[in-house]
Amino acid sequence: MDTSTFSNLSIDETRLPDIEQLDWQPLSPKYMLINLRINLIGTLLLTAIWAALLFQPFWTISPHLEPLILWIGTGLTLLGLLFSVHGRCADPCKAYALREHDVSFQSGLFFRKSVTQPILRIQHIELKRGPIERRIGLATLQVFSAGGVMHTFEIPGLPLSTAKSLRQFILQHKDTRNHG
Amino acid sequence: MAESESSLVAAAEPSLKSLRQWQRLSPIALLYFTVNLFRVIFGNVAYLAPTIILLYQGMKNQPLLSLAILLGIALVLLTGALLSYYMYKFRVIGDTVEIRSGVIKKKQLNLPFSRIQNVRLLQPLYYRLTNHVCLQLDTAGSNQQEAKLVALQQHLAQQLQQEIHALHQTTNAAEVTEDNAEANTPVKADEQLLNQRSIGDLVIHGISNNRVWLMLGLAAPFLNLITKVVTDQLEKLGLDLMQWFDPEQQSWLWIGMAALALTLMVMFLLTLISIGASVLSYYGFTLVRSGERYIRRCGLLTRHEVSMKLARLQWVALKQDWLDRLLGRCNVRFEQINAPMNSMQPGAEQGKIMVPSVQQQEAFQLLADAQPGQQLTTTPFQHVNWRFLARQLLLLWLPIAIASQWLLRPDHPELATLGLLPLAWLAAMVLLRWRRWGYAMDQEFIYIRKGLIGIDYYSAPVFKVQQVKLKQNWLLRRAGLCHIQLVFASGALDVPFIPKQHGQLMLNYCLHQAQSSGKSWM
Repeated sequence: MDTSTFSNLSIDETRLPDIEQLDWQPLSPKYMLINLRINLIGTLLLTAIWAALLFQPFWTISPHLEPLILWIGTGLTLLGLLFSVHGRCADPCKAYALREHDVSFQSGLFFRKSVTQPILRIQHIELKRGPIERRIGLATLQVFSAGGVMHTFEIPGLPLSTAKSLRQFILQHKDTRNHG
Repeated sequence: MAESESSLVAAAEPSLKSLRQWQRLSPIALLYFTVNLFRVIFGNVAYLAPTIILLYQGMKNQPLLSLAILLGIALVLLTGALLSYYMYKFRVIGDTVEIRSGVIKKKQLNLPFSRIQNVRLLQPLYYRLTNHVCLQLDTAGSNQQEAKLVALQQHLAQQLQQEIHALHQTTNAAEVTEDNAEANTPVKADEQLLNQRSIGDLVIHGISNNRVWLMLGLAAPFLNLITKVVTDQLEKLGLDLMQWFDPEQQSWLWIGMAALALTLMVMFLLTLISIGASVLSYYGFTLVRSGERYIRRCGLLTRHEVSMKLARLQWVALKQDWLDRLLGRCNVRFEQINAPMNSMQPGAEQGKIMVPSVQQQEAFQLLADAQPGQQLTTTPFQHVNWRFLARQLLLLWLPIAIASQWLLRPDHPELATLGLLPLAWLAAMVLLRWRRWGYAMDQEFIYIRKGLIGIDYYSAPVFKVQQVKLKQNWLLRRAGLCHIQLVFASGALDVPFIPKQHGQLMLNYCLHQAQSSGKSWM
């Protein structure tokens, strides 16, 4: 297909900064590890719950329900395992990139998605740290634009120092400060 | 101009001073809170419907108990309204509006005038007598920042509105002062009329934007009951409806005619209701331009005034569904920041301005006024790739086709053959959807066209983009295609199945414009 629609752009297309040539940085390796652990523990817990329900001595479960619980439980466990495996394979695809005027984040194993957030359009910025993240020294950087909550830009699994310097970079950025 | 502003502000001082202390709203606000609670509950009737149907049987068996429960619910609601009222305090101090509210979850909101994007005055019918208004303050960004002063004396509200606008004007000297003397006068001296809607237009709007169908769908579970009540009533009048439709007594032709007549009558009634609703909410519609601000006024009972600074406009959408297309009309929507859930206001949901059922020519005029540089009408649109079609057909059409034929063919071959008709129709719709999807971009704007029978157009200045996304799965990668999404403050625009280099170029260009233009998105 031709690119005739774009021929009247004022700037030489080939000299525009290209989102294809970003310098992608990986997330902390701890992030993948902890994610896998959380997923596996979650699956284990789920399995424990339905197994406990099935084999507890306190009351008897009607014979109709028993196979139902067994099947649904096995299904859920399998789904959990699948989810963990997918997470393990997909997490390495997550990466972020910083340019002079924007931050990007890419993710997705089958459906590759890359989001670019111009720093000029950032409304406010948050560092989020859950209890697990705090223990292993990671942080999630959240960036809000006027695009709304649905389009919150988020980079998870950053080492705290990186997250802090990223935040600092954005806050100190002349675009953010001019924006007021 | 500066002088007149300062005198305006000065004149506003004495009475606004009275708002410096923490204070409750005028008691009339109790009404507002009650109405609001009821609205929240009955506005969600759609979700509650299954529960209600379930409960209905139980209620019939235990009338006393259910009455008690209903009364209990009403009591809780009223208490809720009372508590909301007592917990709600506000003051206006310096250039800040402060509101304390919340019964269980307490909130304190500090809202500097400079952060306010939009001031709206709203006067429900029950505020008319005491001359109160509800002042709504919209802000950008997060949801929690929305504020409402639920019941203010009208003159106070107008003064406050003026002061907020005045502050914005001193920061932006290019703007023209605005006279907010009387919300009800159609056009003031410094205003330029852009569009007004006659009753005829509103009737057309009622016909083409018939939302009553939804209500009918909701009423479906009660259809049996309704039929019974109606037939009972008709019998009392000496009309036996059942007799009309009894094949023993009537010929098939007669039954067909009766059914047709009945359907037409029901449709006619529904359309009438819809027209009524349209006239009610858009009566006396005027859209005027006052300097760099659009002001929309309309409403028969509750008169709404919405004003929007042109700089805040994110995109203009021309929306047309199939009935609109038939009647040669379309709705023009001026969309600004997606301010979170405001009370359901006709034509102004979320601070947007909608001009109902205008003719094509008027639509283009409005568009040209709002976005002078756009070339929507002359730009050639590019189609999205045919694989869009493949996805829809494979994932939607094919499963339905196979399932329906497989289920019906063995036992009801004639029904299965008849079923091919809607299948063909569905396929045609998919095809139409694909043909309609189009995109184009010039130096300043991105244009998107989509729809089925009617066509929607979007025209958005690219420098206002907030965020961009590019998506690709391995099938798309192999075909050299991608999906892109441009996030604006008013929502996201998607363009699926376009050549990768197009997508990339568009995103690169949008980013470059956003970052280098130096223009503010609001």
